[in-house]
Amino acid sequence: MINILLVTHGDLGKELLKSSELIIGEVENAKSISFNLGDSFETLLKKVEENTGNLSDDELIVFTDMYGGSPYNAVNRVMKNRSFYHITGINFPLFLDIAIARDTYSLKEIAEKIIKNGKKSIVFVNEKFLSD
Amino acid sequence: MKNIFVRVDDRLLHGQVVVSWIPYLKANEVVIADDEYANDEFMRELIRSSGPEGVTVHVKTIDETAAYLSDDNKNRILVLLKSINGLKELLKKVKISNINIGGVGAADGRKRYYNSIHLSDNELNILKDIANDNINVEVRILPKDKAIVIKGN
Repeated sequence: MINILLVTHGDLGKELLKSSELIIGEVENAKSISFNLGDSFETLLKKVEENTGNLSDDELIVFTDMYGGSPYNAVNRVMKNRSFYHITGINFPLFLDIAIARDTYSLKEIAEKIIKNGKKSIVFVNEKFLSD
Repeated sequence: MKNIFVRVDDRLLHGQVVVSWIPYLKANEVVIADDEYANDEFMRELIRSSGPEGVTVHVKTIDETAAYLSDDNKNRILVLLKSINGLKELLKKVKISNINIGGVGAADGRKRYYNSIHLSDNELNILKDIANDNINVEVRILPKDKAIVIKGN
């Protein structure tokens, strides 16, 4: 099974895992690194290195919460020597989708799925009802 | 040089800067002044690609940054430095009137002064020396925070 690593501002990733349990049960082979107030970037970088070091590129997918943020920057730094998949801008429906798809799809197929479905997860509800 | 804002933040271009500082300053250009990253092609390209839309990101050595800032430039520029030592080097080469200290992480030999600002005795002395030269040195993490002004000796 493909391993998931979340790296986020505060406990967003930890809570994302907990919230996912409500819908799909325990998310296995998944870890989250929280970047908290006062943590140094170097500490964050070390944690990312530790949590990716024992996994090969093709058995790992890494998610961060925001393009350009420190978690994103730290993961990208590690990617200097690695080529695992890194998706940023993770949200709840997208995460659930991927957590489930891990069982049946390859990494490449999951990445394609993300591109296809990711943006669909944000809906302006008023507009949808008006146009339907 | 009213259109130049210099910030020391060891996380350089990151969430606080992208979400709060760049819109607050209406900056349309960011210069990362860092010798190590300027000489590392991977990091240079990575950082260049991490800026928000409409903002040009440069990665330059301290020397290149000084030369760049000395040129006549109409852009609103945010200069980011990783360290206070880097700031000291930059100030030897170019005149800046306002300095913002926004993030210096914990490390051996550093004491926590305020929130995410940790300084060694040497770093604090450098800041005081800068303040002695009639340069305004403020500690401010986010634009909405109250600025704490560092006084000279």
